Amino acid sequence: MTGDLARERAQLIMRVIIAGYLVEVLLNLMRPHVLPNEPALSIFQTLPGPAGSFTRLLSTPRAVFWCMIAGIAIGVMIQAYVAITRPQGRRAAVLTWAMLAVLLGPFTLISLVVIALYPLVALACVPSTAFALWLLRISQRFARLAWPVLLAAFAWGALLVFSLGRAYSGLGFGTLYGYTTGKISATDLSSFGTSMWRVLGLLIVHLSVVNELAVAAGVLLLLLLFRHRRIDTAKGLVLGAAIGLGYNFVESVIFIQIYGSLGSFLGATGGFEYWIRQSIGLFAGQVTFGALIGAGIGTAFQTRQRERRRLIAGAAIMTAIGGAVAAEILSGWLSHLVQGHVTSGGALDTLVVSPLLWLLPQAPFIVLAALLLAACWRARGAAARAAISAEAGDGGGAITWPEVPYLADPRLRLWTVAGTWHRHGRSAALALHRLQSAQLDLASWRWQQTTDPEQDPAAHEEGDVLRAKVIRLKTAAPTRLAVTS
Amino acid sequence: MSGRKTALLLARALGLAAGTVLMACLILPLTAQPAAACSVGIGYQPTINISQPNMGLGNPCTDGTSITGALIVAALAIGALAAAGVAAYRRGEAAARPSSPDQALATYLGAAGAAPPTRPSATGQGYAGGNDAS
Repeated sequence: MTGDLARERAQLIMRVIIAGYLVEVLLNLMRPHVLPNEPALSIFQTLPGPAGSFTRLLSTPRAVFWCMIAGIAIGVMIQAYVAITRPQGRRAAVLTWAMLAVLLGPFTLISLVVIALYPLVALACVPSTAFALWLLRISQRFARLAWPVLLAAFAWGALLVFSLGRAYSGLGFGTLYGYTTGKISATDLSSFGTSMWRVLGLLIVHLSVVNELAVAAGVLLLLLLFRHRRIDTAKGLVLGAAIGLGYNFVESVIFIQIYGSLGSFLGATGGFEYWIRQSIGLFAGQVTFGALIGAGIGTAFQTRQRERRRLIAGAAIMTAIGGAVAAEILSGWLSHLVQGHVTSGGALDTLVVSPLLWLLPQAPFIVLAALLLAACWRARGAAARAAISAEAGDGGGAITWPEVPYLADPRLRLWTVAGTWHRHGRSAALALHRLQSAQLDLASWRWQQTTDPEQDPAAHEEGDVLRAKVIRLKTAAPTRLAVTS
Repeated sequence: MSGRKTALLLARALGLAAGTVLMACLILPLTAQPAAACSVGIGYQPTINISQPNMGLGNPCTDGTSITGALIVAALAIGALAAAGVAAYRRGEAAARPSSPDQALATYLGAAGAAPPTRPSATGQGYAGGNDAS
């Protein structure tokens, strides 16, 4: 039933995505042409020199565009086949997911092309991104999301959010430019510049709206897939942040590459973009905004009233859109204020002023996300204590009462593992860590049940498997210690 | 107590951060800083002035300085994590009192069913642990 709901929502989201894209294509086809010999679609326009490099920020390769159109056509055919034959059960599920893959798969080519074109830059971004993902995982304290789920969220951000943002906004840029700019005169280049910056401002709004909606869609889908488990603010927050991290990864690659090649014009180098996007501002930008959206949707899941649910989720999405727009436009404006005074490019500018101006408009959002994370940390701590105590109270032997204070406190857990390492060696410490992890998995399972496990045979069986694993590890641990001590 | 202490620390840290941001907001626009900002994203508009040298475009923020900054941040992050780990270990050790750390650990390992076997005695009874589950 949960799978059916997730499938229905996935289909709905996919239809909205495709309909929105087709509207963008249509508007772009109907736009007024500004330059002579403009192609029918503005994304096919190639500009020479630095302008050409700059447009790569939003470009959709021609082959990728046709793949997307072909995917939409095949997806519509599958949908028509489903509507006629009305398959049931597993066959219906397979057809739905196949349709989603065919429709959305070609969009992901935009991100994949970026990574394939600049593999070394992508490789350079891997350590910091992996570290951030690991920090996100441990920030949950208890009932942590499994690595595959976190990686799925990361992939949604890297492959879909980035690609959809570029696919929509690449078209949107041409459309906005066509509608807001008159014919370009060779004798009045200043008006061209003014128009260009006005269009860029509108483009930032367009891109932010598309990005944040795509992040929200990802969080919603992933949470729906785990609807049979307890959903809270922390789960949404971490999923949203992981999606943002995926987006940030691909965006960093393209910015490092393109700003690296236009350093003399834009005042930035590839190294500078790496410093801002993969170091000092790694948890800012899309990671913060994704976390806010996720926290909002996670909180909405816990709310019973439908109106209130929509209000919370809507407010979170609006906050993130506002933040994303502010991050780009206000930081640029602040930079412009400072720019008149003296020259740029010194150590103070690179290490302090530029990051500060970039992070300043985002500071309230970063603080809000940090406060939410701290609240989630406390809530998960209380949940851990309750679940571990409940398991000990059952008397199944997997967790005993003397173990409860140690398991519930991460500091004591660390101390026991480190102490065991010190006194009995590495293998013994690893065995104890595995035992504690299995015990925490069991307590997490207990906490995550939204229904009585006794009434649900599948959940009951899952609990028995986790309990048996703990007992097995407890039986094996003394042997391991005996070998190493 | 721990919760209140954490809340107090968090409040102080937030106050410090807010104060720093406020001071930066006040100082940056009012004083002529010996620097300007390099472009980070597409919201930055480079100002071109043909009458100035290099068309008024500043020097780029170099790769060398930027990578140095990234290395410093990486070192700080790793250092902070290590410090947090050491602090957590010490607090864990303090929380395990009043018994001695060795005794507390042995008691815990015994309760967890992960106690090490004691050295074989003359009577041949060696194992002190076991699954104390019931």
